[in-house]
Order: sequence, then structure tokens, then C-alpha cells
Amino acid sequence: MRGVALLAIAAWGVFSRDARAEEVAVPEGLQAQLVGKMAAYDRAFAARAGERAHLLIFEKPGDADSARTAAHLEAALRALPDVGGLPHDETIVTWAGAAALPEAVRARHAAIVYFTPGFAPDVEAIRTALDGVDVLSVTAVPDYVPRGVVLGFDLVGGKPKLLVNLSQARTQHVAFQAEVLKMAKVYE
Amino acid sequence: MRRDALRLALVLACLAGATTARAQSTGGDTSDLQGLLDETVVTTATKSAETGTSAPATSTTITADDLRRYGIHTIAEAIDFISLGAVTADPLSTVEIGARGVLLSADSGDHFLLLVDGHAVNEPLFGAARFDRGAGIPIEMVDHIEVILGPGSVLYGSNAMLGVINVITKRAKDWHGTHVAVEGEGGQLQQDTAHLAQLPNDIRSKLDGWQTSDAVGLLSWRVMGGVGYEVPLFGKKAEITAAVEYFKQDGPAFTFGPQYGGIDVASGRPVQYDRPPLPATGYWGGVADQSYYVREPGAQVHVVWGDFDLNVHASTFQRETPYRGRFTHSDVDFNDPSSYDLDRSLWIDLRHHAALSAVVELTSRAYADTWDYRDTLDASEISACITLPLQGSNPTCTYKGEFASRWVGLEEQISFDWLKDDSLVTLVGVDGRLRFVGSKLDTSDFATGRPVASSTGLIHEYDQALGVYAQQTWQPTRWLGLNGGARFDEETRYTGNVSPRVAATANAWRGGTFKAIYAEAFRAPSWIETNFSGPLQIPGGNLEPERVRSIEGSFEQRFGAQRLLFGAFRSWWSNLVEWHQLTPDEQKAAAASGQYNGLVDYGVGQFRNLASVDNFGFDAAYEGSAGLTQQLRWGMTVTGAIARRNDPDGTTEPLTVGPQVFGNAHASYDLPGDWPMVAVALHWMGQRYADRAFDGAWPSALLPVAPPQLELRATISGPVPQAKGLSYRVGANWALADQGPYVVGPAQDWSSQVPPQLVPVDTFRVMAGLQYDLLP
Repeated sequence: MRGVALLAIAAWGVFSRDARAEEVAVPEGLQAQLVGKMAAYDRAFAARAGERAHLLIFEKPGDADSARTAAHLEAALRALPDVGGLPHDETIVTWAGAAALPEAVRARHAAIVYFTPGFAPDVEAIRTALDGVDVLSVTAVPDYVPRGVVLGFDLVGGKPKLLVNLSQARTQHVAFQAEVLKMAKVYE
Repeated sequence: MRRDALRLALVLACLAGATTARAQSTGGDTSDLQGLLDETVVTTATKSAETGTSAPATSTTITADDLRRYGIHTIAEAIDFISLGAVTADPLSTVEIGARGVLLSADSGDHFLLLVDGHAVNEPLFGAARFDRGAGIPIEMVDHIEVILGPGSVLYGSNAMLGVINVITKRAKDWHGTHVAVEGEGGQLQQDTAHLAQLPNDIRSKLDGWQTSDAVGLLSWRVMGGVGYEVPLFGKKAEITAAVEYFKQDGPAFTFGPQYGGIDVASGRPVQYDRPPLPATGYWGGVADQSYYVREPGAQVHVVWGDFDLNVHASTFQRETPYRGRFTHSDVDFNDPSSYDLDRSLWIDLRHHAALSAVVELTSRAYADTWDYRDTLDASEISACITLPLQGSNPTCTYKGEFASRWVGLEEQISFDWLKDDSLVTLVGVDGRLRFVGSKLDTSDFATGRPVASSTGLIHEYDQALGVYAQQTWQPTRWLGLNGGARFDEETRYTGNVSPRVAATANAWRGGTFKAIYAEAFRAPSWIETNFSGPLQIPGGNLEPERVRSIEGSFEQRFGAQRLLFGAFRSWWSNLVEWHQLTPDEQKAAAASGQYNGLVDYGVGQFRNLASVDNFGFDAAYEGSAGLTQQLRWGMTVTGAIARRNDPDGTTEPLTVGPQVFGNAHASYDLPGDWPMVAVALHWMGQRYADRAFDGAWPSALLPVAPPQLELRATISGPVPQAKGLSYRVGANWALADQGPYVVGPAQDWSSQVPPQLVPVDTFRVMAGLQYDLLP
């Protein structure tokens, strides 16, 4: 009985914590593989990336979910032999606000920017900031795609599903092949 | 049959090749991407999300799309038509489930652990879980079903001996709006499966009124309503997914018998198998047109708010079995509409997930369950009522059993991702439960309803159960994954029980994965087995948990959107709890010690740890898809297994009921636009020994064996043209063999000199349904 009481106290401590969920539906390892493949179906990717693809993974300061996902994504992406057929490197970047985003992309010559959980209040600002910026934005959180991130992944029926925001893709000069769009849930 | 399956596979492969070639010729070779999108994500094997390829288990994922396109209504159908390695059998009461050649009949499903959104359903009194309509989960709300083969106690404790089935319900985003569905199944209302029309005239003359008709009509119908909405709640997004359903089935009316039971020794008249005023003819059987039905209302609710996840389930499952069998109402009047079984289930499960840091995650879970079971049986056979003080010369007695399980529990689970890259993760958990189990058996006079004897079979017990588990995963290199863990379980009736698992997964080359797994699992004896005392049962007492050890290896190759798997397994089962009929000396000793009342002088038994089972075999699966939107999908599985039961006296015999060779195949094509989806699925089983094959002393020429079975289902589904939101599904189901592996009727062994009769199978049904989805 004492053990059960201790469990109850522990459970109450956790339940009373102010929490927020932005669910990462697809395991990061599988997301990384999908990103590596999807980049190859972006007709503008090679020109954008040049000889080497630079990926920036944005992490929200003080957010354990975000930090955890960023670390997992970095490790999973690092394990890929190529991204869109190119050698690549990944960097975790601490979020400094949407206003600094375009400059970060240009300065680091990023071909892909990846948003981890924790950016729900910032998605619209991110979308606006990336208008006209030549970059593929990707997210681990399915909810962000209809709100303005170009590519994301959901889990439906125990299998991954591609999510594409097509209007935002055009704005960011991302041009996925039509065959790939037929396999995705497309938001206009 | 194997040749037919091979031909089907070749046709599918040719179709796939043609479609893939067409895709390539248009410059769009997306097969690698399709392969990734066909990767399943499973959470059951390690309690964390991972791909099916890397999980330390052989698994099948059955998606909501699969359920709809192949006309699936229940978990059992999904297992038979789509899953690898598992199979069910239907005794016309609740379906039984087995895997890899082991199906332990009359086990209430207690060798497979059933989870719904991670919540364990098997209860402690019988260990029962239902896999048919009795699961009470509206099928439209199911997102996918994970079927994990092999021992799974390492993380889940008792009952996970054959495997773990986890039913994952939909999230609001995947079932947005309001949904209403109605469907019905029809067929021949009366089916002469006992071939009464072919009986000799001298027998027919004694069976007045046993003729059947050829009428067709509605056999079952179902209505479902559900919602999926996302709403803001206290500043956070909340989502609710909920569905309610009602299912009603009446018939078909199967024919049984005639089985001649002779003269009742007590009354000197022919045995009374029917309810008076019907005469005592000594013949059991006829047209069971009032005693095969199901009523099932069920509801499932899933609420997500922030990091909280709430699941609530409520259902009842009333059914009647249209025959008497060894464990199925062995004395019930034939065609009695007032005898039935009833399950009632209500549970709630609240889960909270928290990432405490980049390294530490904590999952907390609180749950409460109540389950009860009622069994009502009316019997007019003199031997069933002879010890009771009943009125009249031809009385009927009523037995009512009431059984209940209630439990509450807390589970805490913490994981440490030491290197922050998922390569070295430690999971530790503790799951504690407080439980109550109770039972009683009452007898009354059917005519007056008055009790005629004191309650028997009394159980009224409280206990605690504790499980502590740990799991370590390690990926030392990109191509190698290791998994090791163990769970310690203890409860009032037995001391510590350890269930280990070690597994290795190696990606040998592109798309090629080897797995090797060693695992152990156990089943705590049910309280009915250890504590129940009835007119024909003395308590089992200090039974040991059943145990299974298993080793398996598999190889999987993915090429584009196609997947090929082959695996081999061997398992050793020990301490199997089985019914033991006492010898006359044992019965005298039990009566002398007061373990039973001594009023019945034959048939008293006890559950004991008796048998062991050796089991080995292979699983194979091939599946794939083709087309840019995966218009064409196909899959097939085959399992071959040898399972032999070893008795304490040294005798060895095959296991009954479960097939040694079985499998399934399915294919579907999604026609363009508003044209329908066309799907065909089949499942097949080899010859099966009936449940009484080896303990009925049958002459070898009459050994009860169910013939091979091939069940074929064709389904067409799609949107109704010009009716936005409205969709339809129609289908038909054929079964080639009309007998299953259960001996029915009073002739349960050769002592009556009556040849065995096997349970009938409904051989043809048509189905039609409409669904309306109102999207906001």
C-alpha cells in the first residue's frame, strides 16, 4: 500500500505540472530519411544547396521537447549518406526570433530549416519571415504545415504521411515534383 | 491451395511490375519514397515509437484503410484476413485466438494480451479479453491495430504469451466531423448444416418439426455515430474523438443433431433435451432458431488535452450459443431463448506525458476498470436438476453465475536518453494494481423464479499486483540495434516471476534486416482456476503461472514499396493449466475433505498445472503497393507450425482447434475519381483436430477433424455519386467448409456411441452499409 501511495503522490506531482503538447508523430529517424528523399524531389534543391546541403535545426530555448527532438533529428540526419543526393551537415540553432530567421538562412547558406516542437506561437511569424526566402522549411509537428511550414510528417493508420503546404512552397521557391505531391496531403 | 496462393502472388507481382514500370517510364520513380511511406510505426514492442523494421518483434500493422477496404468488422476478422501468424476460431460464442500453431481452446482469450490505446483489457478473474464484437470498439474509430507476435510479458506482464494486440484509436484530425453509419448483413435464415433432410425415414418420423426453410433475410445490423473535433480549452487545444454503436444479430438458425441420448436412468424416460411441454424424446437437436444471437452496444471516447490523454470505454456483450458443448452450457435446454452470457465492461485510463529534459521523459498513467460476466442457463434434463428441491414431475432449473473483476492501478514509466540521440535509452517502469474479484452461482426454479439452494462458487477476494520492468536499448552502430530487458511480477497467489527478453536487429544491407529474439512470458492463473468451487469443480489451489520461452529469427527485405519477410521460431510452454477430471479415488478424497458436496458422483474436476507444449515453425509474408497513390495494394502471409502437447503421463499429441498451416492474401485496387475501391481478401486454414479429438475415446475412423477452410471476401466501397459526404460499402463472404473444430451436443465422447458432430459455419453472407461524414 505504501508503494501505491508513493506512486499516487508522484503521479499527482506530474499531473499538476503545467504542460503543453505539440506531438511529434513520426519517429525522428524516419523523418530524417523522408527529408533526405524529399529534397531530391525538389527541383530547386540542387541549385539552392550548391555543393553541400546545410541544414539548420531550430530549437526553442528552455523547451525540453524541442531540445530532445532537435538532438534526435541531428543524430538521425547525420547518419544519412546524403540529403537530396548531396553531402550535408546539420547544426542546431537556438531560436532568436522570426525576424532573425532570414538572415540566419542567408548567412549559413541553409537549404533546409527544420522546426522542432515549441514553435506553435511563432509559425505565422516564421511563414511571413520566410516569404521569398529560398529555403525548404520542414517541421516535426504536423499542425505547423497548414499554418505555413512547407513540409511536415503525420502518422495515419500507423504509417507516415507527407504534408505539403503548396502555396508556401511556391513562396519559398520549393518545387516538388507532381508525382510526389500525389503522395502527399496538400494544403493550398 | 498452396498452388492457388502462388498463382495469386505471381499475378500480383506482374501487376506490380507493370504499374511500377509505367511510373518509371513517366519519369517518376518514387518507389524509394513509397517504401518509406509504407514503413509501419509501432509503439507496442518497446513502448516507444519506432519503425516495424527496427522493432524487436515480428509485427503486423492493420490500418483503418485496410479495415474499410476489406470489409472488416472486428479485430478477429482483421487478424484472419490480414495479420501474419495469428488466427481465430469461432465456436459461435466468443471467438478464440491463437498464433503460430498454438490455440488453447476455452481460454477466454487469456493467452493474448489485448490493449486499447495501451490499456490492458484482460481481466484477472478469467483472464478474458474479447476479439470479436465483444471488444465493444466501434471499428470506424480504429486508426490501426498492431499485432505483435511472440512473448511480450517483458513490458506488459501476464497474458502476453502468444503476443500483444494493441488497438489504436483515431485522433480528431484523422476523423474530423460528425459520422453516422448503418450496415446490415444478410443470408439464408436457416441453414441445414446437420443435413437433417438426408436423415433416414425411421429417424425423421421421430423428429417432427425439424425441417428447415430456404428463406433469406437480414441476419444482423449495426448503427454507429461518432465525432472528431478539436476545440480550445483553457488556453490549450483539446481534441475529442468518440463513437457509439449498437450491433444486433439473430441467427442464422443452424441445425444440430439428431443425437440420441437414450433413457434417463433417474426418471426411466428418454432424456429431456427440450423445455417442457415439449416431450422427452431422447433426441438432442433440431433447428436452433431462437438461441443464436448477439446484442452489443459499445462506446469509446478518446480525449487529448495538452499532455494529457484520456480514454474511456463502455460496452456490454450479450450472446447465446446455439448448442451445448463441453465448456459451453453443457446442460442447457436446446433452442432456449432465455439462456445467455453477458459481459459488461467499463474502464477509464488517464495518461500524462512529460519531457523533463532532453534526456528524461516521464509517462504517468492512472486507470480503473470494472468488468463483470453473467451466465444464465436453463436446464430440464433430469441429471442437471436432480439434486435440487424442484416442484413438479418435469421441472426446469435455472443456473445463474455472476462474476466480477474490478481493479485500479498506477503506472509510472521513466526513460533516459543518455546520449540524446536515441542510441542508448533506458526505460524503467512500475505498475501497481489493487484488484477485487468475486463470483457466485445461484440456482432457482425456472417456473417460479424462487431460489432452491444456497449460493455456491463464492469468491470474494482483494489482492495487489505489482510489476517492475526495465529495458535497455543500444544502437552501437548504424546497422545494429540491441534490446534487453526484464519484468518482475508478483501478486498474492505466487511469488516473483521474471520475464526477460533480449533481441538484436541488424541492417545487413540496403533494405535487408535480420532479427534475433529470445523472450519469455507468463500467464498468472485466473482466479476461476485457483479459487472457484462449484457443483462440478473443486478449487485449483496453488497453481503455478504458465510459462513460455521462445526464440525466433527473421529476415526482412524491402525493395521499394515491397516487403518480403521470412522467420522461424521455436517455443517451449510449461505449467499449462488444464481441466483434470478427478478419478473416482480422487473424487472420494475430495468429498471426504469437504472440497465439494459429494452430491454428484461423476464429472467433478479441478484445474491443474498439467501439460507442456513444444512448438516450432515459420512465418512468411509478402506485401507491396504500386501506383503513385498506391492504387494497387496486395499482401499475403503463410504460417506453418508444429505444436505438440506433452502430458504428465508421457503421451504426446497434436494441439487441437488451431491449424498447423494457415495464412491469408488480400489485394485491392482504387479506381480513379469517384469510381469504387475493389478489394478481395481470403484466409485459409489447413485441417484442424476438433477440441475433443484426443479426449473423447473416439474410434480412429470417427476422430473429429474439421476440414480445411477457405474463406473469401469481396468488398466494393466508395463515395456515392452526387451525394457529398455519403459513402457505401457492399460485400460478400463465402466459406467453403461448413464445419469448424468444436464438437457440439451432448455426444462429447464415444461413451454415448454417437458419432461426433462439429460446429456449423455460416458459409455465405452479403453485407451492405452506408456512411455519412459531415465535415464542418
